[in-house]
Amino acid sequence: MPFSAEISRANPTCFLFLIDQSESMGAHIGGGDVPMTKAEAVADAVNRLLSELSIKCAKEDGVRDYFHVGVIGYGAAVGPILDGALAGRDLVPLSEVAARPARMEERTRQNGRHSAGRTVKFPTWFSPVAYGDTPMCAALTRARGLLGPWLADHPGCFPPVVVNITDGVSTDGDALPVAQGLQALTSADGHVLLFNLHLSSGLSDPVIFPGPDTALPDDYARQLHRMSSPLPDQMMAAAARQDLVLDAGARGFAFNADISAIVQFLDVGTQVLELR
Amino acid sequence: MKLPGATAYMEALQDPATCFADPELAGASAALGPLGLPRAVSGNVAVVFRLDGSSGRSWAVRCFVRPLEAERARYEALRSHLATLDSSWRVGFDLQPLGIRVDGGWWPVVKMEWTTAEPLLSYVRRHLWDGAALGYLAARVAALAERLRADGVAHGDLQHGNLLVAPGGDLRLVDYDGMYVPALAGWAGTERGHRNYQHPGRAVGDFGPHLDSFSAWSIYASIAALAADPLLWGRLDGGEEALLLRHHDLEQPGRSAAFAAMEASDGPGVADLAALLRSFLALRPDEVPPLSHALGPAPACPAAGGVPTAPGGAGSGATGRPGPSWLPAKPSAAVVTPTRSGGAVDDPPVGAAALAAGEAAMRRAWSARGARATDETPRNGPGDTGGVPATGEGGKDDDAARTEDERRRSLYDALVAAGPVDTGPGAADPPLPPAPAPAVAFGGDLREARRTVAGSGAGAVVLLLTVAVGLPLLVALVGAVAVAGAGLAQVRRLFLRTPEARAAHQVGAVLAAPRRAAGDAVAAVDRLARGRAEVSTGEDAAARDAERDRARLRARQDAELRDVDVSLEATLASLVARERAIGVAEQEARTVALAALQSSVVDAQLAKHSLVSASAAGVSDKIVHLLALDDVRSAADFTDVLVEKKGGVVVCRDGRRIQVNGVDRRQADAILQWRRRVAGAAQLKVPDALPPKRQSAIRAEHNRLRSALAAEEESARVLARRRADGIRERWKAEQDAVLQRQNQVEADAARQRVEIDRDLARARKDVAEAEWHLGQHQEEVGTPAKLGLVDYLRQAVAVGPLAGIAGRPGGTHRHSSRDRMPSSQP
Repeated sequence: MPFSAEISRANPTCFLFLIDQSESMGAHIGGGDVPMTKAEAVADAVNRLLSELSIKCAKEDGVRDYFHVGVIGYGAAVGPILDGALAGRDLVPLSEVAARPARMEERTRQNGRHSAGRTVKFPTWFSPVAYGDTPMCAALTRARGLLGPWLADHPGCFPPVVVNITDGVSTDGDALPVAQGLQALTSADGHVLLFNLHLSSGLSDPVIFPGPDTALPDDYARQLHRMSSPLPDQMMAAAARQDLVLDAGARGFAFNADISAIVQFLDVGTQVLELR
Repeated sequence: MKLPGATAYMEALQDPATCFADPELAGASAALGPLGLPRAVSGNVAVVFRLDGSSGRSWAVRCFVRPLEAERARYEALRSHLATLDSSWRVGFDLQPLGIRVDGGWWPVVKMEWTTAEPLLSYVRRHLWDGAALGYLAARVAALAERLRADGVAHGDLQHGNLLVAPGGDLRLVDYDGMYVPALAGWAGTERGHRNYQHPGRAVGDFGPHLDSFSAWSIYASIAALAADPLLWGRLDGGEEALLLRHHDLEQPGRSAAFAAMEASDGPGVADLAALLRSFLALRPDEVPPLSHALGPAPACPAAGGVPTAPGGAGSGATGRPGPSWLPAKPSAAVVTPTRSGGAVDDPPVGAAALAAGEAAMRRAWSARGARATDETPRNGPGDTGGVPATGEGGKDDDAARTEDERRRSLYDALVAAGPVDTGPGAADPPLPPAPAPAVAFGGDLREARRTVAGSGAGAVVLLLTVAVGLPLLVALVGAVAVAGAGLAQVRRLFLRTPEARAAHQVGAVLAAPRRAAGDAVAAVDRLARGRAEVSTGEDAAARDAERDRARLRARQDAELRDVDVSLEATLASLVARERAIGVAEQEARTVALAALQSSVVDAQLAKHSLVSASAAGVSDKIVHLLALDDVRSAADFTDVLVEKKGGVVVCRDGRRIQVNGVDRRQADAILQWRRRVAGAAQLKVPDALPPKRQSAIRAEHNRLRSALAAEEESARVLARRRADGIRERWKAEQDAVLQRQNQVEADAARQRVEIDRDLARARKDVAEAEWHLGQHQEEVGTPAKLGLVDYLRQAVAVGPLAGIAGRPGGTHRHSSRDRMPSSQP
């Protein structure tokens, strides 16, 4: 049965985030308490996810390398965007990620409606950027170039999860065949999972994890839908825990996501660890 | 509402004063990790933080990331029951339903006393090569299981993460979320426990005093197995979210490498324990017998005073040991006493005595490993020979049940028997097998050898002499060689009888098997590594082939697409030519139309001038009258006037020629002049362009032609596109087939690599193990003197016939290293 490989330090899996850094990511996005740009919302959500993964894999003897993690940006250039000590690294074992955030930012959190905010430390590994085109094909090609050798080293792993976060159409060609090339990569446990998270600055309702026959608003949405892998069982279960009612065969795809949809999408799309 | 995430808890914990409702926690500070953030340890349902109070007390705070199933009433029942207990496994705990404030909302926490105990896996890893400590730990696990039963409690999730070893060896239990206490009888369970420790048949709703039976056995068996055979730890990836067994081992014991390894282990008692545990998997979870303290002493347990079942002397313990309640009573056993409850074991020997006892047990465990290879484990259970268990109810049990019982009975007996024999502190060390003593010089009597050598030489001399007196040379040579050979063979026989040669031979024989095993293991690794490389090579070749196929397909597709393009270009070129022709025709049409219009205008003008008006220009009325008779009335009606011999001729517009009397040269000139004047006036009224309506009519007419062309072009393009699509589709199907084949190859290769990697890991472990065994054997037998036949001969020749040879020179360097522990820890 695919997607049933046990994830362990000897048999880790891999999360690769492809983040659109195009000009339009500087536009504002809805759904949050504080106004922020799409680039900021994505950086926040992915940084938080890195922190969440680090804590989830923390045991008495330290952070376990159940995952290798990479963050690739695409805009004016295509390449890894982790900052600080990890700058230039593409796929990094989780224990190193946990130990070396680029910055410790001070954030203000509200305790209650009427109380004053307080400052908390929030580790970040990369910063938001919005400059350039949307070379999605190059980003997907880069992902394929990273995961091919990684899979040869980890032939029995739970298949790597690639999360592509974008707000626009590819500017360097048709992304569909490139995406299919990426999804064609395989471990003994199944094909690489490609999830697409589309952001919007508009007011239309988000579509999250649509089923195979869900009606979508336009051709672009339909193409991203075709580019997205179906969710494996453990993610369907995670979605159910979040009270999301999904069709059978739901795909790892969100359209017109707002801030809360981003968080929900990333949470469900990275639920691969079932320790019991 | 969705629970906060781990990061949100960590943010809240940065300021305990504002996030905790509990005053003790609010006054404490969170223990920090290297980044200066609160240090977290994650379990499956909760993140745990440590809080240090100013008074020196510390707490563990469990913050839930999965919904807390246990409701308040359940926790109240737990708390009130636990408050009545005085057991050392218990740590104080307090569920606070509104314990922590995160992002403005209040969430539950469980506050527990911080215990300075060590997690089970880390303890086991640290004591892996200390069989005594692990044996003792296994005994404590059994005692804990009894204690829990005596307390009326089932923990529900016994596993490495919830079992802590306190300094001094006490076991502590944490995480009481799924705990059963008598007050909760009739409630349903809320969790299944850690899948690597639980009976696969356990359901979420299962609840009751039996919850821990299987997991306790599993933990006990794993630790006891490690005490006797620590190599299992490395071989079975111990410590990876499990001791030795994992959920897939429990779900499919028949295909389990772990069960196979344990059952093949030569650690005393390990195979039996594994078989017993495996037999439990055939039962329902609630049928699994509770772990009995009666089986407490692990194979390598020091079992010094205090453990009630520890034998005072070898063999005495088994007879007095009560059988656990789940075993059918044996006919020969007069009284089956109920399972003892723990208590006596709570004060085990510690300190120097325990260490000494542990060391002795360790030695015995290792020597027993060797002994087991040749001897059957003694079975001295009193009822062994009886075989048929009493049914107690008159033999109504069916056969299947009886054989199952028998099997379990005999396993149990084996365990009972293995205990005292292998572990009793009074048991003497079994004698080590005699190690051959290597020597530096040959012992025994060399004189016979010398005589033989001399004899062979003499024979050769005799033969040579014979040759000299006439025997054929060849026969002489053959004879000489035969005699010398026979002598040498005799010397070799004598050599082989020497103690040194026998010792060397024996050493060789002892080491042959482990050497072969090590060699085989290395060869297996090589073979597998080659196999893996071949898989990758094959995959690369397939990838290259696929790439070439794809390139070829692309080239052929491109060629066909080019053909389509070329024919479309031709069609388009002809359409362009035709469009140009339409342009020319339109221009022509305009010219013709204009000319027609102009001549019709001229005609109309000429028609307006009647010949009557020509009389003013000198044309006689008579001529005007005559012409009118012939229907020539205006300037438009004739084109010319000729003067011929017969007289004047008027050329009509329709070509008629009319003879007109009286037209002479003068009259003719007058008529023509009039007509020229009239025509000149008419020229002034001729238009030089077509009227717009006419023009647009012509344009529309030709545009119709043009749009027909455009339609033709469109349909040509559509056709071409359709053809190209057809071509692409056709080739795409082929390319997809290539891609699919390649994917299949990649998937197969990946699968093969996984299999090979698994085998490789196993083979590498085998190599390490085989080398370790070889080293062990080598140390045991020592290094034999490197003396061969040649040395023997040399000595034999050198020794004079009368010189006695000292039989046993010194120099034995026997290593007795059986007691030594393997030096390398994983």
